[in-house]
Amino acid sequence: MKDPVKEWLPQRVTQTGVLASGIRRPNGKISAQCADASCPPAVMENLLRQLDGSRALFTTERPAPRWVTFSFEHGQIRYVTRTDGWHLAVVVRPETDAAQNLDTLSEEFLGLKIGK
Amino acid sequence: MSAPQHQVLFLDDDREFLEALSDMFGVMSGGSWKIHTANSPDAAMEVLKSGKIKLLVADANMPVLDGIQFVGMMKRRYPTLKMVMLTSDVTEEKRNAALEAGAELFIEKAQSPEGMKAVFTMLGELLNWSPRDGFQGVLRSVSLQDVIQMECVGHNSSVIEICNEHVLGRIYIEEGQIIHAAGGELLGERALQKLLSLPGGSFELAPFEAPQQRTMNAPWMILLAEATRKVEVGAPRLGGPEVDAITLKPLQEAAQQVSETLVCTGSGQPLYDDGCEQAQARMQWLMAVAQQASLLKQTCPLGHFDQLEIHYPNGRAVAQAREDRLVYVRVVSASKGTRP
Repeated sequence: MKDPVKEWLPQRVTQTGVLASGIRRPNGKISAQCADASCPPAVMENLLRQLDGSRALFTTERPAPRWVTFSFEHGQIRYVTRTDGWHLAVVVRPETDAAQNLDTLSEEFLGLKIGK
Repeated sequence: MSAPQHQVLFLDDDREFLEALSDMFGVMSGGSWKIHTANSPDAAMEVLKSGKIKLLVADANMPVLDGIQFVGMMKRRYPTLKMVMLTSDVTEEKRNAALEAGAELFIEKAQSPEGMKAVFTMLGELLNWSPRDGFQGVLRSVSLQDVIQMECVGHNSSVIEICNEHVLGRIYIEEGQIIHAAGGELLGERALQKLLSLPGGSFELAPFEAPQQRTMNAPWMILLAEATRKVEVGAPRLGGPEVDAITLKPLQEAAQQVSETLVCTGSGQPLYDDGCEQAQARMQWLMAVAQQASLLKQTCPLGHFDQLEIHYPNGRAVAQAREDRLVYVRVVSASKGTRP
């Protein structure tokens, strides 16, 4: 069976300003792709693990957040969590096309039909 | 002839000029000015000791102690005394020095009866002028952000008038909300950013008057945080588009209802709390956010942490955790539900 996320993600994170992106599956398996040497796949994998750990910050928030964005001086980290256990993380440069498209990307990810 | 209403002291080392001035202004005032003259700083100080002088008009060019130095000294001794510098040698350098020393006006000595009349009118205006309610300050000693925060936290209505050598601007605050800003050719949030980016200047807190338009609707905390962030990234240039629609859109969307606001010092001392049921817990949460951001930054070096934005189905929250302050603001979209 085709992995819809595997097909969708590379097509959607091609804009100027994307540094890296990654997916964490419900089984814990992580796949990352790098678009800039400053954020190699190994870094992205680590980020996804750390972001998974950060979910404890939001367990008491009601209603549950749809996504969170950590903004830094030179980049933004968008972390989107689905109730079925799929997580998306994207690192972008601020004030770029990619940064402006983060909400659309996040909505798409949340609405993506992913088979069990 | 009316009884003297104002006592005015003229200081000049030119006795003839003093006599002419005294005669002419005495007549022009119809006796409403009691005119004193002094031809040396010592003599002027003796007159000022009476405490009845309302206006001092000093010649800028005098031997030993010039008028600018004298005005500076007297401003410290008599802070409410109005002072004017009169000179036949007008230069920009002297004008700046005189105004910096505390003179309200810097006027060229008139050479004609018409000119003298104009000087008399200016002095008369100054004598009858009384300051508006409010206070003034210098942006180098007081942060403009502090003034805005003070007005917003106090739910005040006011207009902050800002000026420096490059730009004049106004920030309108109505009942604790920043509703409009204008600076140079910019309006709205970009004007706010521009004014916040000024390295120096002066401001005056004036009574509120409604602006011709309202350009900002977002909660003041978000506006200030966004503007500060933009300033840190790079201030907008004058002459740009009037309102940055991309910047404004999410703020307008977020403007519906502030459900929770918490502002603390960097050490966790609460400064402002509105709708925060568990302020202590929220403060600890903000510190945890800072720790998490620090971990992320170690993994992927993206510079200093600015803020965390949380997107909920019914609104969003912004959290800032910096050395000097912890800020949390949550807004709920009116169209998507009630308070969380």
